[in-house]
Amino acid sequence: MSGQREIIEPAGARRETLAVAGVIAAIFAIGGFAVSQRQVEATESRLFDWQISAFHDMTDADQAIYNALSTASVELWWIHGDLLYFAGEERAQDPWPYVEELHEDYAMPPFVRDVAWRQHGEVNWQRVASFSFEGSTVYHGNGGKLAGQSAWLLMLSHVHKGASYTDGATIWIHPEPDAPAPQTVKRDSLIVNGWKEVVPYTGAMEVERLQGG
Amino acid sequence: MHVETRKLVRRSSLLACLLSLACLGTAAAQPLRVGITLHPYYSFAANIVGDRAEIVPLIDSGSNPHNYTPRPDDMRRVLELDALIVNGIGHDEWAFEIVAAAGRNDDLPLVYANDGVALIPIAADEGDARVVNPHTFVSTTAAIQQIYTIAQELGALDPDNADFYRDNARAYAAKIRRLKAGFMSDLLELDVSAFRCATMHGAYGYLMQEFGLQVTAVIEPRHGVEPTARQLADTIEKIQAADVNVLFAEKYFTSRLSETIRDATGVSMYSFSHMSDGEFAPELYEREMLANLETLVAAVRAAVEAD
Repeated sequence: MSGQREIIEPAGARRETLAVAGVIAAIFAIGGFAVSQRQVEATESRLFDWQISAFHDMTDADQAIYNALSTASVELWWIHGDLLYFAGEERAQDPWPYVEELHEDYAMPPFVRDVAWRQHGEVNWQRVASFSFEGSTVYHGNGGKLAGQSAWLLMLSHVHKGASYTDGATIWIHPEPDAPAPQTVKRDSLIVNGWKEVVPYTGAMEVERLQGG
Repeated sequence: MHVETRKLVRRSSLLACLLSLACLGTAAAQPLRVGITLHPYYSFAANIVGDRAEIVPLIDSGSNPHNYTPRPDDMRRVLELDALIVNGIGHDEWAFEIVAAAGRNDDLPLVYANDGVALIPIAADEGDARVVNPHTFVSTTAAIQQIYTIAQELGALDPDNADFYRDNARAYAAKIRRLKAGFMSDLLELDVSAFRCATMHGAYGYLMQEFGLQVTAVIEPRHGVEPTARQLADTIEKIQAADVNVLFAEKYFTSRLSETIRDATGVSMYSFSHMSDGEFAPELYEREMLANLETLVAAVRAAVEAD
């Protein structure tokens, strides 16, 4: 006998139970983390008072109109280029498409009067200024019939980006659906008159968030 | 010949040779090899570049992009690419693993198709935190936005063909709009207020949004995360309370859940394509979107007529 004693623990599943519980807890922790990575917190707001989030703060109909306008703005610049350079001298003096053309020739949302237009409140669109309205071309939409519907401004203008100017678009809404087109589209004036600039949550922002930028 | 004149001739000849070589170099320049991750991006890219670039799927067509595990062959493909088009917002995270494993983090241009897309939350999702819906490709408007972004980014990488890419993108976008316009006209004749739907998966939020149709409930908002028994019971209750009459399931993914819900609620069941199955093809997006639009109009018409 060496005098050494060996402690033998009673047979049982306590350790296994703890191990399984630990694994389960780890799975929940990892799963919870993964889900949290996919969430955009409602409280995560870096907007000014005169801005509104397309992702968080708009009704479904307004969100749909915003998304349609956002995509349309890219092509409106291209159509503008066509009208300016390839559609004859007369059209070059008036080189932005009319709403009727966007409806008839391009079937372009949100201007095309289709079932989505009806479902989204039948907003009346008009091109307010054809060219150089304080440097901007403006499409104005109002008269939407849905509860909580907004009035709209799509402003297309060259924006200063770094050392050069580039084609840009900003979208503003007014809580009063019948709000008329403003007399001026200077930012301060729009803000004073109750217009709010819509800020999207874009794919670029989501990529940055996912990549920890 | 005067010495200065001879020098001038020699210099001119040298310049002509250099210009010729430069022209030969341009003519012999290899077309871009552009990788893509998801099926719709193959269609988008192929329609934009035509025969002036090669489109290379990063993974085999039979693979499921939702739970893809990178393979050695994927790295070989990445090594040969000049650019890679990605969704980037939750549908192809594995692509970043492949790029990193191939050691191309620093020199492979990534085209983030969704850069300019205004994202929306998953429809009818519960809770304070809204979850981004990454299924921007199952739509027409958000798809067109991505087509424009891809054309612009590829044009920046390949300036000689930038105008060609842009013109093709515009023509392709117009084709997609025309595809949708016919179905929009069909629905314009109907009072769609009788149509109330739920979807098995969150993939169809963008599509329903552009038709102005609401989704009352999403059974499985996140891929592969089935609802608990309690959540399922709550969803069934919600469907019954809202008098939902249509459930959209997945065309290529069968699920016992959808049948359970149909049996419990009496809803009519239809299937949408998630556009992430089958062979990569230029016409895949249009074909699958056409099928989705036909399904949607048939479901709405049936719901309205039954009301």
